[in-house]
Amino acid sequence: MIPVLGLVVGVVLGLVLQPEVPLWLEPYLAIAVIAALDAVFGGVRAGLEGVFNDRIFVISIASNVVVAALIVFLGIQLGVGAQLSTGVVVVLGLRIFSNVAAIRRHLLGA
Amino acid sequence: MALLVEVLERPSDPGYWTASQQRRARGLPAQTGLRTPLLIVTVVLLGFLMSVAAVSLRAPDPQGASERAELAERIDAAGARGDASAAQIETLREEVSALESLDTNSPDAAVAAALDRAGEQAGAEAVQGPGLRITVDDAPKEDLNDSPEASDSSDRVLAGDLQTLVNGLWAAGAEAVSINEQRLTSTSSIRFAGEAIVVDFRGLTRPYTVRAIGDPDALQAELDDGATGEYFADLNAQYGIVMTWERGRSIRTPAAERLSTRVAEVPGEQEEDS
Repeated sequence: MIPVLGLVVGVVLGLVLQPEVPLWLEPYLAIAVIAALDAVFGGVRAGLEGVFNDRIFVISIASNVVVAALIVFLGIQLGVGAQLSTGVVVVLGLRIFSNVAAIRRHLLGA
Repeated sequence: MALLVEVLERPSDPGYWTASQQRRARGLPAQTGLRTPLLIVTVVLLGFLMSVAAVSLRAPDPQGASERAELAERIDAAGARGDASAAQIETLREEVSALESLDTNSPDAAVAAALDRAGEQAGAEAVQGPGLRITVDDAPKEDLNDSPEASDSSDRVLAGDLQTLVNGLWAAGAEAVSINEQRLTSTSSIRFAGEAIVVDFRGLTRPYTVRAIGDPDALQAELDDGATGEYFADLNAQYGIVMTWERGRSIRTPAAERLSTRVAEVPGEQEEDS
């Protein structure tokens, strides 16, 4: 419950503060969100399987975001930023779906 | 292959398993608590990141939409003002003609008749009579799909096409012509503005309905066999532009909205001068 409350507090903070995001950061923002989502679902699944670990959770989020941003940065430097972004989204999306399927099996038994 | 394994077997993140095994080996519970400060800070940061991303990536669209809506509103308002002015012109003109008939009826019937005729010719009065109702439209959409390489504009009715049609109708003896309820006068213009055809500074939308009052036989002959007919047959063959017409016994053309005269002289006096 506490983590969900924290998430809500963060969302509200973002909506209230509405910080100005520099233009060069925008391509990374969407990718970072998707990478973080992947780590979040991985964490939820681990929690349901009884092996959750906060340090692993934080490290997986950080490494996901950093690696995804690095791939996009490299893509932009090579002129294939859009294609590499798509690739990152596809792979992370697949992982999110497989994690959600496992979560569903834990929660609903289906 | 790794991707397929990911999809089919859905392995859990290996990091969690090794960590839990290490904790078990040290005699701790396999799972850490859900209330550690590290986790709470991370989760707040995550929520912040998500809402910031959502807000900043969504921002441009609503701005553009509101500007578009405002522009559309202004266009509508200006259009409504124009329509109101047109209606006012109509009523004022009716008043004027009523006053004119009051003025001229008793002394001289010939003057009244001349005024009436001049009004009809100048487009100051709505005219009703036998004539043709002609519909001109762009090429049907199926033709566009068949030839995607053809440029869009060639399949459209151009201002020049309407000019040719109207000139042909005048030449064939039409007494009054209107396009989409816009009466044409001797000072009317048919022009292009961007992609739209503009008659007397008013944009028209397809299909274009041209009403011509005059001898239906002569008008129809011009459209069947005359130069105008040939021109549109060519257009139809090359670009698929469609023109159809029907005869009508009582076709009505409205009065023109704009009747500005820049220089006016009485023809009789001019002849005397020269």
